[in-house]
Amino acid sequence: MKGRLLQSVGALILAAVTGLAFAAPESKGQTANIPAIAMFLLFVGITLGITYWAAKRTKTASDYYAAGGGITGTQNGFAIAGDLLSAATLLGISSLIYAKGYDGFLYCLCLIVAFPMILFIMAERLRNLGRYTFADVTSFRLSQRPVRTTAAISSLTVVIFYLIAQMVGAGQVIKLLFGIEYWIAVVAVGVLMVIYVTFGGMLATTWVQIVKAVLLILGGTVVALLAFSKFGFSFETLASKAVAVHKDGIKILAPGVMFADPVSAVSLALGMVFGTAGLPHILMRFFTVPNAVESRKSAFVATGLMGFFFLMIGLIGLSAVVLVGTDPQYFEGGTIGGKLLGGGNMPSMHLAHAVGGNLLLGFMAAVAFATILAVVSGLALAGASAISHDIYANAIKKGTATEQEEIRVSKTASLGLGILAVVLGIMFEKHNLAFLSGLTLGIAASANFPVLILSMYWKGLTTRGAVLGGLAGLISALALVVCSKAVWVTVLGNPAPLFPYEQPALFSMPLAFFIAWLASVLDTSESAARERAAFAEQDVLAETGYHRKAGQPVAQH
Amino acid sequence: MSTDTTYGRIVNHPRYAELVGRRKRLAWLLAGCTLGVFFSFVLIIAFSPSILATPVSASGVTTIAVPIGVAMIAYFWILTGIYVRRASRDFDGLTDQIIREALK
Repeated sequence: MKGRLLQSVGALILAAVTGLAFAAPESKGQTANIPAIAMFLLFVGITLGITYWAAKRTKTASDYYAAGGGITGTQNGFAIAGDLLSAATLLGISSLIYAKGYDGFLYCLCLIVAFPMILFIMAERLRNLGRYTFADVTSFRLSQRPVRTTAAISSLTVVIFYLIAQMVGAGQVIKLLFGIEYWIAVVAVGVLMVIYVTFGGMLATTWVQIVKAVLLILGGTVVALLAFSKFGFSFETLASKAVAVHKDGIKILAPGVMFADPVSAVSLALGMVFGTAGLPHILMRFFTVPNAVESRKSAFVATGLMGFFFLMIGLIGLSAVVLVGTDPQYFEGGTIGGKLLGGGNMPSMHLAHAVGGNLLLGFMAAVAFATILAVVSGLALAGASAISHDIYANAIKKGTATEQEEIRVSKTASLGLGILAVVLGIMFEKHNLAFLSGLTLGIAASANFPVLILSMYWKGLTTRGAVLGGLAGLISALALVVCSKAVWVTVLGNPAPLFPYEQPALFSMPLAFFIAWLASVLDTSESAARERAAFAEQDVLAETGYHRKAGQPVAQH
Repeated sequence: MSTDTTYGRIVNHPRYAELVGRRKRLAWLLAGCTLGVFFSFVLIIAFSPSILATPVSASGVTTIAVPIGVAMIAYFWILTGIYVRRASRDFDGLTDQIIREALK
């Protein structure tokens, strides 16, 4: 029955999207790109096929949340890289490099550092202690209900803000590249996301992410190398031409004003490194591999893929300075140096057109759409798992819910998240959401990361410490972003920001650590003593994972 | 909480402390190498970015910031490779041995 339902929903979507493809040329102002639509439909077809295949293999809670632990390290490495390489990376970072030069590349460096750190101090322990969500790890020896509820609240906050940013970006990009209405694009993303997650669970979500990661890395490499070939594969030639035509000249080849303020620079770097290490949909990927060996391998593969892709992005951004920035056909009204057609996020797409014509542009547009779909699906699954596994099954039902009940709640939750994402995506169409990326990483770095790291490494952490530390991180990160220029001045229209820096992590992350420590050491209750005593056994499990190798159930206290 | 006998045997295994100690040293050493290099770079950008604007050669425009950026990406990846290799070689066999003997 599930299969038939899936097929019929799939047919509906295909009909709707194909209908759009024909209707599209009539929408004013934008032209539909036929190769783009054809390739996108091919991607949707393949991913719905994957979902159908995955749905037949998804029966237990372990299948649903963690693909039955059957993803290999290499596959998981592609999926993790895919999660991090969102449309924001492809379009946003390349356009930052196009506009600001080297400063844009610094974002790549900040993102990639997170993965060695995850590997060295987190990957194996996560795999050995957790099953489906990172709250499994934080609540391992602590009181389930309060710790999981706090973790779920901060996970959901991160997921929802991240989803809004992706949805709004998706709507704008798809509107431009495919010539369809903004709201239709947002609804299409929402519907496909819900189909992947509810029917195919983690297995479908992972394979959609892998397919997309391969396409994205392949497409990015083709664009970068074709562009680089125009400069005889000489970086010096490319750089000197870029310097000659860019309005900032030689300054684009060195770090500039964006990181000039030391406090903001360190805060941004902290937020990006430890925020990435606290993103629920990234952490969840470490539960899809069978053991600690594979979880190590996934971090290694992910780091390599991302590093390679960032080098390609660097070439794309810099080549676009020369090949797009001097070509009047990519500017509104043909005025070089004026507004780019389609807005500031488009240099990589225009570059694809410049070096590979409509066909390559179509391919890259389809890849951009696929990227958004894959990333929002991972996010939706992480959010739905926080609701079903942490809040419903453990905090409310205290572990008495059956697997089928838990899965049903999760599917309902992902439908709810899908609707919420579509509604918020449409509501925020016209807003400047630049602050959201800083906010999500800031929250993840402050609310998730400190509690997670303390729960794994510090014997003294108690329930009170985990809850208050997590809440302190969440609330302070939120409050600081609201008081910063991006929200207080730009969104709320006040004259001056209350908080002078853009990024919260430098302040909110240490605060979370401090509160977690303080609340734990001041906790003299009997349960706190029991929790401290339980650390020794947890630590042996974390070090060896023997309970898995011996086939014993995970000890839950 | 009942005392798990397997747990007790693992903790008291003569080589358990060695496993934990060696892995801890390797992990924190590599984490230090990662964060040390990265935050030194961030601090140079914050306080003295002009250092990075030095050209690689007198005749060209390419600055040392470019090869340093590329080298950092390679460096982080190599560090993850070192950890994966060392962990597979030194820790997995040892872990299996400890578990096997503790379960006997």
